[in-house]
Amino acid sequence: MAFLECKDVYKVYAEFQSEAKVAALRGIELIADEGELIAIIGPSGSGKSTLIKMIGAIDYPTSGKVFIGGTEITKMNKRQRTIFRRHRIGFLYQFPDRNLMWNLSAFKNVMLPMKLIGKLSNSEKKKRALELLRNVGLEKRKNHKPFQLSGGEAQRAGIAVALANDPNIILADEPTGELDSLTTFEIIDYFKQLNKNLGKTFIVVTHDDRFAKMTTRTMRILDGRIVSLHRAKRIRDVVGEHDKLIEREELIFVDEHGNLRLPEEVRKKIGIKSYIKIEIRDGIACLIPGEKDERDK
Amino acid sequence: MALRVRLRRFRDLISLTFDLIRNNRKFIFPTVIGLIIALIVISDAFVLVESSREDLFDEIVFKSTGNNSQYSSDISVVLSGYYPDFLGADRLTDFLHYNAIFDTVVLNGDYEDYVSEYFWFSRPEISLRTGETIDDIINTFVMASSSSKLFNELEDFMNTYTTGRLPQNSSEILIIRPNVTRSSASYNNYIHSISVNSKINLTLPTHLIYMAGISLSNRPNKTVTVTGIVDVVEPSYKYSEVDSIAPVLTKYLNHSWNSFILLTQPSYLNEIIDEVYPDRVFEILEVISSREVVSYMEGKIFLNQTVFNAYQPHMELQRIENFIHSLSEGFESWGYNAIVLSNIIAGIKTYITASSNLLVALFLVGAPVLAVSFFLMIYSFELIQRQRKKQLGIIKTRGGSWKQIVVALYGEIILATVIAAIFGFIISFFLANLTLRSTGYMEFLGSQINVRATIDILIFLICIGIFSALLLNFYRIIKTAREDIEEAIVPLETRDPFWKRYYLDVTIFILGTIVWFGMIFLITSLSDPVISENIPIQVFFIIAPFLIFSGSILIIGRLFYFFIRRLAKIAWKIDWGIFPFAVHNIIRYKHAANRAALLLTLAVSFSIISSSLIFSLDKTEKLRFYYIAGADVSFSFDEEIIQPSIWIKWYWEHAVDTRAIQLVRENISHVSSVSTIFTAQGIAIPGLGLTQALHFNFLFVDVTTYEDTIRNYPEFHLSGDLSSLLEKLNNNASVLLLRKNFNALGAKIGNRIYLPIYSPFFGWNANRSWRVEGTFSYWPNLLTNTSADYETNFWLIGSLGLLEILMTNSYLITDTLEAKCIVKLDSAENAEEVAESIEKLTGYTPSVPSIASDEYKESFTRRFNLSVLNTNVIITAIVAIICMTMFAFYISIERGKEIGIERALGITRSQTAQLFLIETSIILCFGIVFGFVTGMFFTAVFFQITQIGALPTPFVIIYPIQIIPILIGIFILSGICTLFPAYLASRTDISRILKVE
Repeated sequence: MAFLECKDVYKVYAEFQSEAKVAALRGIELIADEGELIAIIGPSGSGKSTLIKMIGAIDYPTSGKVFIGGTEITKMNKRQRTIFRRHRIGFLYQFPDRNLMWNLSAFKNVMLPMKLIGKLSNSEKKKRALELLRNVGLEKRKNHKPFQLSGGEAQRAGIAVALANDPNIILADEPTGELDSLTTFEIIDYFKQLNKNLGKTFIVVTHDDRFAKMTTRTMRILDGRIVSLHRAKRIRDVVGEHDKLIEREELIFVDEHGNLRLPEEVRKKIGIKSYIKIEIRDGIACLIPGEKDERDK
Repeated sequence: MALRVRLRRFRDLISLTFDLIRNNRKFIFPTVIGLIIALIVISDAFVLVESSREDLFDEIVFKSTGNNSQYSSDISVVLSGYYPDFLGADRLTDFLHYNAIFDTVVLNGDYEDYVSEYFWFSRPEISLRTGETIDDIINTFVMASSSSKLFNELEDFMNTYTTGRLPQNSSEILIIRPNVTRSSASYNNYIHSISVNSKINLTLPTHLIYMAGISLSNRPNKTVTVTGIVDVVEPSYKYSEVDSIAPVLTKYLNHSWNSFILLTQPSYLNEIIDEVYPDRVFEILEVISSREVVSYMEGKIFLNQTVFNAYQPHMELQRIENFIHSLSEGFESWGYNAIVLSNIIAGIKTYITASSNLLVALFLVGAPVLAVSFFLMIYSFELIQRQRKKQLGIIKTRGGSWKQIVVALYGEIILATVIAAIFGFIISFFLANLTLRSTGYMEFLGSQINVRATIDILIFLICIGIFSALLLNFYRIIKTAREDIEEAIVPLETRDPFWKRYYLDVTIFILGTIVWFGMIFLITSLSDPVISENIPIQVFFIIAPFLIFSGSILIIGRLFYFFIRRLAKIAWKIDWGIFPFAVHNIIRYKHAANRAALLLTLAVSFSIISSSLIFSLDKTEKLRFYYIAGADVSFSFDEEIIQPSIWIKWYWEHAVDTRAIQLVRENISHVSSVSTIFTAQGIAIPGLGLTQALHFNFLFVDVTTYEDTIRNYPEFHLSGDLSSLLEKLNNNASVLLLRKNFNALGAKIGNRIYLPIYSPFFGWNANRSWRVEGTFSYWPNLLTNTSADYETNFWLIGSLGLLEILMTNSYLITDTLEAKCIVKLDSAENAEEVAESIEKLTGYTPSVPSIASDEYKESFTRRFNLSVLNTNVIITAIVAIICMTMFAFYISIERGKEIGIERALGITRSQTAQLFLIETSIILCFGIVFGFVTGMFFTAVFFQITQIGALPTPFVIIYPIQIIPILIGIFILSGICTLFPAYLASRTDISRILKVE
């Protein structure tokens, strides 16, 4: 079993004081291995933040299952989820005021999750907090409060906080949404670096396409469904006899029920309107635009 | 290991809680303000009571003991001689022996510091002999050793006002007599004709002589020399500080001012019996000892009041009980039948109850202010809720459990409460220091009072603070802690509350008002106690004000929205600078603004109620003295006559001193009218169809002059049609009846009421009736007994003509009868001057209610009331100011980003500050105006309860217009306090706001 598995996850929100229901997730299937850095990219309202909440044990899916490290978190009660979150998950949100307590210094913010666990001694906590801040380059600004830090620094402090309890998985929700390009690259670099050094699983949801090219795998999400997978192609390095990720490819996602969503550019390119035909030619499935039925005209 | 981990977790949790508290202090402080105020109110009640304990102890234990009780001394040792063990007359007056016993008890029990003075007196009956006939039976007090104070007082009095000296031996005597200028049938003129140095003959009373079987001609007697005379003036509401020896005599000799005393040495009784009639000593002694009154002996013990510790009443109670027990045992061991009594015991018990009751009363009086403070606490909690939820959301995201959050929040509350309690304790100390010097409405010109605040109060405050804070926030904390992360981070907007949607506020208010007025109607109309008892009126008493109060508050909340929306529309049309923006900002933060407006309204309205009470209590108390006296100045022509009996006609003919009235009318300036009244009490005993005794309280007025004399006192609340009422009495056959009697009898105007009256000549006349021509609720000089049964206790007013008819027909309608002259002045300010002139001209001692009222103003009760009510006014004013400042702070925090955007769009700093000021001004205007109206409404409604006849004199409701400067002060101070948050908001860095918020 993979480290992270989402199986047919649905989330339907009932509108407050209304009969209307909105399906934010519609049968999400997601698999991630330990130590992977995955980006989930999608436009606003596509359901990516909802997905993060499901993975992060913040919210319950309406149906479906989520497994992390072999544990089904969707079966957990509130208390178990809290403990699970405390030990296994690190969060990073778009806005620093959701990551950091505004009236605590960066150092105390990093200490906070450790205090919630109460596992380490005081000196160990301090040592670890300093180490984490050093890792994100904020050692000298440890006593600054969040509003005294720049946007990038605040996010880096947020990363340190997310890593405080040595979680297995870091969930980042639009971590660069508020940042300029330079800082965005800096943060992505940090993610990659931490992913590489610490071997933690990183799930980053974003609408920023730049992430797509910088992660091992990128999922595209649209209307609550994973539509495609953007990944690096492994090619044998002739010279070094090692695999190298030098090319990237985009794969269309087909769920357990056979549903697939074609990207708009593909549909336009081959003139697909409402129907397609699939023909198997030499073991290869070909999509052929279908003509409309007379009755549909 | 597990324990170590647990301990570490616990330590981390505490440390986290402390971190949160330390860094949240900016948020926590506003939430604590409400609690601080509440604790100030509670602490102030304790500090006021603690600081007043000594006065209270003095007032209840000593003053009431001295003035109103059965025993004027602190401890009385009553010894009665008894037959056949009676050892002789000397035993009755063996004061030296009593002293010895007493001294032994004191010495053995280590009570030396406890006893201030003591002395003994006996009270055998002695007759004053005038020629051959024996006229008066007079109580003669035979003095004993140690009361130097009494001797000194008498000596000083004689030196100042009369002549004479104290008797040196048993052949000398001092006469103490009432100072009456005009003799009546009840007194013998002889005693008033006695002068200093004259000789008088004293003997034993006739009935004793008979009982002893001695012939009158051989009765024992002794002639003594009068060494001094003391004329006693009635201790009443005197116009000036004329010394009256009466209180001293009451204190030492249980003496009432209108009786006689012959004061001599202890050996006198022995001499009169032994020396004058030696061979019949034993028979006389037997007679004397067989009659308790004759052989009455009393020891008076005055305790050193300064050694009593008002703060440890239980210990004092125990001590005095032990002392009394020791005294009783001491005397009994010598064979005396001693009864040791003390009012101090009852006094201390009353004090213990009263001090607890006082605290409860203070809490009740302070309850509205407490309610406002707690509301402020909840309000302030709401203000920071959004910030707080964000923080909790982060903690939850990081894996904080709800229990950890609960611990953190409770820890925060406990620590904040401890700080609040300390603040509240310190502030209440200073507040009490100020308010205990209250001399009037917001006047603190009195002398410094020692304020006492003990550590126990602080501990109690912390406990009560933690309890109330936890109780008030219990649900909220649990709910907040258990909220989902998303819910905590993004607070949900809710619809209008259900009470608003279904107009429950209006319904509650109308229901409360209907119940209230219905209840008052029921109480006033149903005087039948059986019906009244069956209707649970008490329940309505609790429900109705509650409904009116909550209904009013909710309606004000509704009105606020309505008012602001209207204002917004108008402001938008007028387009007057930034004013429309300010109004729209209020709408945007309508919940916070509404709460601020409500809090302000409540604070103002409660301060109005407190202010009203200050003035109303003063006025009511002043009126009470006027009701007792009946006019600016009044005086009785003579002392009260007990059982006029056969002197009815004579008394009637001589009761009114027309000469004195004439003198007052013609020779004293500032007198506008003079009238004569008679007050009389009577009883009709069961029989002649009567199953139970009927008690009558009559007032007979001179219809020709009465109206002029009392007409111009609107506070008297007499019928508006006084002239026609009095006219109806002119027929000398009609009466006015107390409304409650009227209702109880089910009478109608014009009906006759039958009240049996008695004549010594004709016996009972059950058919005597009077025509009821009107009713009254309150009437000067005719104070009702509020707990009386109105079917058997009657209060009636008739004309002097009616009284004359009854008297000339020898109908004994009264047991007591008193004639009074009531004098109306052109101005009450001249009362003292007029009273002085009246006494000089007529010899009567007038009562002056305005002086009594002034004396009341110096009393402990008034000072205490003022302290409490002034405290309430101050606290509510502070609450109002804090509330507005908090609102301003709240919007400065909450609106940070908005301010940034506005500033980025070009709004200047000054305009930002102006927006703040306009917003708070609008809320202030609303709160103050609505608070004023609501306060007046509450005052009018809730004080209705005082108007339903529960008091013998009417309760005067004063609407405190004097509060207007205070309201203006609140407005200005709140405006000034808003300047700071406005300044902060205007000075904030735009880039920071936009980045951070």
